[in-house]
Amino acid sequence: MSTSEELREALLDLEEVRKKEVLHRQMAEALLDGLRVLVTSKDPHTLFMRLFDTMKEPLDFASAFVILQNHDGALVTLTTSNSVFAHTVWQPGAMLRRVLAGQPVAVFDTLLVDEWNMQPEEVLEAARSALHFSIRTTDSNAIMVCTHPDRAHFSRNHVTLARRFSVLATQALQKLESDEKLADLEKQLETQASMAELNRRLAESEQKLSRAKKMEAVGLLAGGVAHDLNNILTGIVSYPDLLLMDEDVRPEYREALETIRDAGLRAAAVVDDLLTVAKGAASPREPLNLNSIVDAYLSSPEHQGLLEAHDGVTVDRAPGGDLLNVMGSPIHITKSLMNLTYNAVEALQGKGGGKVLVRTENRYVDRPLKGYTEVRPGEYIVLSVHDNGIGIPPEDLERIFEPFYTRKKMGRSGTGLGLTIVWNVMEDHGGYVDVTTDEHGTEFTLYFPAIREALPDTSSFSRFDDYKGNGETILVVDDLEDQRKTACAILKKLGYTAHSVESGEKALEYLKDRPVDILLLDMIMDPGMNGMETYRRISEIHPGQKAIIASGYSMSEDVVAAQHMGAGVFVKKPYTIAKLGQALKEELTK
Amino acid sequence: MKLASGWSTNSNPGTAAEEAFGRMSAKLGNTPHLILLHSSCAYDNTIVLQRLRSLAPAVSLQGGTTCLGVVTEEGFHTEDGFGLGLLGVYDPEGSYGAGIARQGDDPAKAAVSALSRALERAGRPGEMPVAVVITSCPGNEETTIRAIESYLGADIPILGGTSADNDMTGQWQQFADDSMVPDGVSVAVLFPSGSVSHAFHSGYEPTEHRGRATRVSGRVLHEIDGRPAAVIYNEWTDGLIADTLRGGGSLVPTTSFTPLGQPVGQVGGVTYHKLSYPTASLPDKGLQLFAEIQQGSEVVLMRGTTASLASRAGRVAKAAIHNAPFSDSETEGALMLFCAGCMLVVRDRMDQIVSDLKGVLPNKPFLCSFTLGEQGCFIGGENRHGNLMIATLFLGSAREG
Repeated sequence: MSTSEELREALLDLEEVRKKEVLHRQMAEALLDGLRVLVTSKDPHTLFMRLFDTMKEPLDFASAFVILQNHDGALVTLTTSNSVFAHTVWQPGAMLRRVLAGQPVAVFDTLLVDEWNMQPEEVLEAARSALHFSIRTTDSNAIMVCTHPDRAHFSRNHVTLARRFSVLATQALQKLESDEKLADLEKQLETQASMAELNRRLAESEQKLSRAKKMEAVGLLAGGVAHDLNNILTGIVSYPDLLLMDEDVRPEYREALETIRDAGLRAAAVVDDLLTVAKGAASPREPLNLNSIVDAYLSSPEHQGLLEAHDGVTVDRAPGGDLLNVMGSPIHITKSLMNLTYNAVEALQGKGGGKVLVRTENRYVDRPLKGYTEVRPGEYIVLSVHDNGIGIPPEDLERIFEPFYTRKKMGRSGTGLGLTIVWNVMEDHGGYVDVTTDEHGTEFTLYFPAIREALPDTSSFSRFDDYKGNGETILVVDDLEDQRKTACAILKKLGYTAHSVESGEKALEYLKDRPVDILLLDMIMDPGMNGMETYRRISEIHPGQKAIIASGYSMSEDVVAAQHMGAGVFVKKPYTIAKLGQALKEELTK
Repeated sequence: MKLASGWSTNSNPGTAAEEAFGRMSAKLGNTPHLILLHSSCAYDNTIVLQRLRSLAPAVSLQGGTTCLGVVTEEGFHTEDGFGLGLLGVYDPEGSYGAGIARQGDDPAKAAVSALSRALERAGRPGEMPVAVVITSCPGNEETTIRAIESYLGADIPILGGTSADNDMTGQWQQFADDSMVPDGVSVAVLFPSGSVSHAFHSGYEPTEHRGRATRVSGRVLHEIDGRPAAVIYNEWTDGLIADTLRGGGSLVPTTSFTPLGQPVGQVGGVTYHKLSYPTASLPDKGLQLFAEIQQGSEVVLMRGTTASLASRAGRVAKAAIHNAPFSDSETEGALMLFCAGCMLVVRDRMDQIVSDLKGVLPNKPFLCSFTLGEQGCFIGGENRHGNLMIATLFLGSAREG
């Protein structure tokens, strides 16, 4: 081979390479433009319309359209640059099946192809040549069809470009799909996270509901028992009082009577414990200072007895200065403090001693405080009881406030309602409970809403003579005979003129001709009208009739309703002479 | 996709067909989807076709006669003018079809007819094939190419060879499926699952002798620069055809190393030519050519040597591989159309040609036919008919793109 021939061949090769390079560069640019459209367009219509614009020059088509495969296999126009192709429907034959399988197909004469021959004449006129290539997504098959009115218009380079574009477009669309699916997945995960949060809240709610149901059950039980027990205890508490008012009682009997009365009062207090956990339970509230409550309790014989029973345990107090008052029931708050202190002392028993610290302080919560429950922002008086015991196991912590959930020996330290009472007291007081515990100890913190109301003057009705009557007429309305007898005995002792009837209906009949100064009205009577209805009917014949209400239950809606109609104070059974005397005096002097 | 060749020099046409088919099938391992058949005219090719059709009834078959025999990767196969070769293509994912038509007085219509039939047989009517292979009788190759381009578009590579006989006595034939004609065109359309590569080269260099074709009619070049073409040609070749100037005469194979060239394109400043083989000196001192030269175009005296012609096949094959969209390992085989005139002058160096081709196509099958004209696609993409050229078509398993 001569040198000039070698040179000629080398130049030919070089030119071939150059031509290929130019072609590949043009194709690459066209592909990049097309891909840019694919990855930046959001909806299919915009995507394909932009794609038509971008690919029009490199693919040299007059019109283009995209047909999408339906679930039944037919292909219908999705988007088109030319309205002639707007409503085409294609049944895939051999040619389109090859395209769908990923093979680009250039048709030099559409009149010769079955699928095209089924199209209307105007479609064929606009498309004597066609270039088809697939654009597949994971879930759907589409074909882009480039057309030209001239026969044999498309070239091998167009086919090559279409093939490359088909592959890249499919990858791009599938990536877009993947991205969308990823985004969906992330959304799903977020949703799942939200669902998890909702489930958590639901579980919390269910837990609360379960707890509330248990409380309700306990409450119903307690309420029912309390009514009967309190009626029984009325005799045990009141008759000793009556006997003790007799100066002729022998001293050795006096002490026995006082013991009977005090035992009755303690029994009444136990029943009252039950009532505090009853749903809707309410007790008379008054402004009070927690430092006083703490002082009173820590000085009480009960607490001293507790310390004596637990050697090596010390209970200290850290009263907060300028402590704001709370509106509460002293007896219930004291019970709560007592229960917490008792538990704290008991927690130290296994260690052979330890320290309990009872603290009070003002605390302002400026954002929701995540604790055992969420403490809302506000002004609080905090009462906390801390021990340096061994802590509460996590498995117990969740359930410690449930009724009768205790690891302590029943009968020794209570009824299993200690912390339940604490929980209910705080619920009743609109407060919150928090518990923190670890191996170094446990602290119960009670958040009471602070008030700025001053403490009441407690100097009135301090002596028996102050609440004696002056012969005012009183009608005792109670369905239980012993209750009527007890009440009448006390009232006579107090200087009142007492009569009694066994029902509301009898009371109405009695009062028809004989008005009285005041009624002592039992709220729960069976059968017949209850106290509220009785008062409403009496008010119709004696508007402004004075009355005090007595019941073995706590305050109820019926009591409140009766009070709204004009009835006076509520006296909970069993009542002492002093309590009943105070109530009557207060009502009669209004 | 898989290709395999088969050959025979058995003088019995039926036996030759069976031997070649057997060799091909043994290597292919499957029934092919296309058979390219090139057989010398010494055979009764009617029998060859019948036997092949009986062996592979539904397989598309296309081809024509070759001068003396064929070359495969196993050597040059000719014996007493007998020799035939097959190239089978097994490609279940591709489509192939063949068609044939007699040219009559409308070679363009015949070309389209054969092409349409081939597309129908491939099951791809209306679709643009990847390549077209043609075999035609001498005389209307340019018309055939233009007709095919007009029908499909100018962008499809067309490769083929003008069917030859052994002694230029007009016994050439064209085949397609079970048909054989002496004066027609057969066409194969290829829709391979892979892709193709092609090359179309000559083994000649332009000389300093050149002029303008001032009077042409068909394939007769009457005048160059206003003077008798045979006289000018004789001057350029230092009296090579002086003996024929008085009364005319055959120029085969006298002019095999000095054909005329017509510039058909330029690449990188280098002009490339299609060649026209002066086959006869006419009494009017015109030149009978085997390929057209356009009136008004430049005419260049080309020059080749035995060495350049012998090495040409291998270098064309290299060019095809160089341009291929598939790798060497993905190359499945090749069809080559080699000028019969060139073959005759380098016949004693055929071993070198086979060796060169095997070097370029190691362990790959190929079939080389010897033709009286070659059709191919130049580097610029132009499909042309030329003489004294080599056209090659490679098939590869990788899809372009």
